Amino acid sequence: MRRAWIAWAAASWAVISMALMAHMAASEESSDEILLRLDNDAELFELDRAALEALPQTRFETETIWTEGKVAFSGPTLMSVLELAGLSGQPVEATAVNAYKTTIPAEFIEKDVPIIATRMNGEAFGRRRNGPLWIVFPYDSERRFQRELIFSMSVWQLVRLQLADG
Amino acid sequence: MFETLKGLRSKAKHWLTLSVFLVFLLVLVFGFSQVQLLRVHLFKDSVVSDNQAWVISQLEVDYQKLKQAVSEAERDLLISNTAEVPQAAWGHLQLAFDIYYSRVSTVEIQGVLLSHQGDLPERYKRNEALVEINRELLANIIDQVETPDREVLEKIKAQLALVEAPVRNLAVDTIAVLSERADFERSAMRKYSSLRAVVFFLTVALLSVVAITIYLMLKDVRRQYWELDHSIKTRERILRQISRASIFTDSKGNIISSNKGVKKLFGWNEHEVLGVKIWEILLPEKRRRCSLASTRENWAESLNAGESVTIREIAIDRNGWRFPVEIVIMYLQVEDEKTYLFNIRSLVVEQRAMRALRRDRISAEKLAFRNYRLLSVMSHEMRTPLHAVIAALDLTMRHKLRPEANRLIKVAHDAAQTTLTYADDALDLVQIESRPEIVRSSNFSPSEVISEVIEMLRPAALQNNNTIVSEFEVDQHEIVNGKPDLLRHAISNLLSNAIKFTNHGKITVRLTRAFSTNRFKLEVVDTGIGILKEDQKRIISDADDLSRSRQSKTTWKGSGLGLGLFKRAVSVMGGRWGLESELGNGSQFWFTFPVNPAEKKPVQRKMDLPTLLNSPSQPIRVLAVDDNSINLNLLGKMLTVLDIPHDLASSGAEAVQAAHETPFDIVLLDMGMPGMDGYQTATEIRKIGHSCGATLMAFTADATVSKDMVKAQQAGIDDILMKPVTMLGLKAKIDQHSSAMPAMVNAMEGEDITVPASIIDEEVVAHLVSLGGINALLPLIDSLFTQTADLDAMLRSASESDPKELKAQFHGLVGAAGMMGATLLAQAAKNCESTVETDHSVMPEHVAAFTNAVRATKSSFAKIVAKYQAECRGS
Repeated sequence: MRRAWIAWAAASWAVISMALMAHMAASEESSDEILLRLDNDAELFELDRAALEALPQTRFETETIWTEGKVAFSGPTLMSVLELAGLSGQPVEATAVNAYKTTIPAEFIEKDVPIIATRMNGEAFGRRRNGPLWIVFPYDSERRFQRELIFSMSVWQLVRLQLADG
Repeated sequence: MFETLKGLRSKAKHWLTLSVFLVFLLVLVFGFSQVQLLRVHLFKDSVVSDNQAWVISQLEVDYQKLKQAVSEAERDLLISNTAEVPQAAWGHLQLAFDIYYSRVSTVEIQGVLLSHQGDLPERYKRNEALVEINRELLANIIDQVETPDREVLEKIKAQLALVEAPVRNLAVDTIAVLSERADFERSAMRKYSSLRAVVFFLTVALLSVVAITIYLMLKDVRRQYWELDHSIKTRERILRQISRASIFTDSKGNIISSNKGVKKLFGWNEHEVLGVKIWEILLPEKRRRCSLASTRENWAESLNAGESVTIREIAIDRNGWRFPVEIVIMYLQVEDEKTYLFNIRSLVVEQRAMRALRRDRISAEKLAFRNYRLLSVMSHEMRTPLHAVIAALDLTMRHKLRPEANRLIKVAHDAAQTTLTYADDALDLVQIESRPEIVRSSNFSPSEVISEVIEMLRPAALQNNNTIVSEFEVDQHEIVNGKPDLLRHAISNLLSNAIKFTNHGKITVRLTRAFSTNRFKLEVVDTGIGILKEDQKRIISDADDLSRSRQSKTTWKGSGLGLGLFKRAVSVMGGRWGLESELGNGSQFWFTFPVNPAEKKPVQRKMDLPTLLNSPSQPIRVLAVDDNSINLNLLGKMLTVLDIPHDLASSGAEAVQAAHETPFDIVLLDMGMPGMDGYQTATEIRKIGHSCGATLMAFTADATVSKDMVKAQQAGIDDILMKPVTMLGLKAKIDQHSSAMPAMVNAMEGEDITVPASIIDEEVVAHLVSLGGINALLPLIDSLFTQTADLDAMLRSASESDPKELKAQFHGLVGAAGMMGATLLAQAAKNCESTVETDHSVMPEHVAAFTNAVRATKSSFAKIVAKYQAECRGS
């Protein structure tokens, strides 16, 4: 009975992974799509992939609790993006596609850390893979990134950054 | 004390080691718990749990949102009334699904992470699988549709419905697993925290124990240092105080400290001897090398704490001067340190003193011995002529002389007697002083002895017009065992003094029993001049006697040696003495003496006269030795009469020669001979020769010899005869030693022989004849028989005559008859004398014997006289 179950589970897993691949690919968005909106209360900035990838890219490898194995995240630093809207040095509120909101205090936004990851292992990743934008910290590199607070600021499926209230 | 401390210290050491070990153990445990806690706290694990709870809750939210999106699409479709779902709604639905989709992926990954921690329940896996499969199916539907229409929506809705439960369950299960893990973690934390707390406290406790132990040990060490220091200081203090030479050394004998005494005795300063081995300083080389010295070191080592050993050695001082010392070595122990204390005392002074003492003692002994010798020789020399004088005077007194001459002769006689007494007394005193143990014990009758003395001194008393009265309150026949000689000395001493110091008075001699049956008390009470209190004290305190202080009264009468002899005699007898006196009221002297019950006397066999006279003279040879030719001659004649073959020798050497060549049975030795004296002769004879087994008899006038039994026995002498020797005595002795007759009692004293006598000792007669011719003899014989006639008369009127007077008369007769050689008569008279006062019942028997003796003697003398007269006429 148990063996049968394992066999069935293994089979289903194989099917799923293949489907996963297909479907993740299937949900790729078009390159012109607006990925991120920046709101500094005065102006609204809209950035697409090209704009984001025009900024200086930072890359690091890390394991995360939402991914399997080491993943190489690359993208512009959050700081550089905020600078486009003049929001650097201020607390920002990040919103995810599922209306999840969190405030990132200014002290957590450092020059290199975090980044808004646009590629995982060099590949763009869609919504079904927690993309297309993911605020990622280099968890493996330092202990201070290995805590709840940072995890809660690691917003995936990022759509909007705005000035935090109060 | 130091041993317990040592024990404590090692115990402390053990505790210390144990504590340290335990601390290490605790540290290990602590480390272990820490490691465990770390493991429990690995970031991913703990972190995952918090985030996973969020994620899983979000899954349900996203699921609901998707459902909602589908419902809104349906609604919009309805509103729009088209076949195709409006784009906006469809786009919204797609977005919702993408979100849902990514959430499920996250859940998947977190499931994997969870499974790393531990097994996940089956249900969880199942639900997870269901949700995933469902998601794929949904993805298929959404992705492959070109025109989403109602049907599609229905399909999606249905599909979603399928997975509602699993999603919910998945959430619940995840939470359950997560909380379980959290609990585990919490409890682990708690466990390890408590373990850590325990470990922490234990460590603290142990460390404090260690700290205390170390502190105590330190204190201990400090105290020991203090004690050591203190003991050193005490040692120094003691050393300084001891005036003798004292040295402290360590266990090897190296000197640690010394005191001033060492400087004084040996000449070494303290710093000079520090560290030197003690024996090298103290002893001269020779003695050091001598094995004794090393043995002493071993002795020292064998000492236990507190013990000491004393040795004597010859020490050497700084200047090489040797002197004897006494060394006391004491062993002290301070903790592990062995210390020896040497106390050295010089014996020089002591030795000198000892030597001086020894010298003094030796010279004192020599002096005493010289005096003793002198006195005994003196007395011997004195007695011999004195005896002759007394004898001559006695004989002279028998002549009918003019009263004036008689008186003078009596004076001379008394004087001679007194001198003899003096000599005897002096000798006795010396004897008693130097050899009290020699005085013999014998059976005697105290009353008899006392009576004898009284009678002896009665004439002296009469001279002073004193009367002597005797009161015997004891059984007069009683015989006890004691020292009659001493008793005689004591009583005669007292009595003489009483007589001396009493004039026209009465002297009472009282014999009583004191306290118990074996103690007698004798009192001599006089009505004389009495004694001054101071003089009494002096008497008691052994000071000089009264006679010296009363020169005028002293004549040659009485004992010039005063009470010394008396005191000594009493003390040797074991008695006490005392005196009471008042000046002008007379004096009372008393003494007590203890006695023992009379010893049983061996049976006396009385031999009757014929048997004795007719006894065949056994073929024994006798050797007689005397330097005095007259005595020798006399002896020879006696032996001839006794029909005993004999030889004569006039010197010790001659006697030895003769004894070696000829086997003699008996040798008669004169003790006081020039050259080889009796003792030496006896010793020589005994050595070798034919007569070495002979019976050696000493005869001497020297009273000391009879008392010198030990020396006599050592020389080999068997028996002693007293001079003057009577034929009776000689015969008895010879018979005694030559035959198998049982030993006679008191065979020592010639006077006590109770064997009946031969009637007349013809040799004595011959001697007397040779002195003055037969004509001289006749008056003597006449006077003798006058005396006997008087006695006869007295006896016949016995009731009227005073027993005391009778006794005195008999006593006189004894002497006279003896002098004349009328031995039988003398014996009979003696018997009468002794019994006249004491036992009247026996009297008749003795009186009869006496009368017979008189008759026999008369006839014998007649015969002898006739014989001589015939000879004279004949020649």
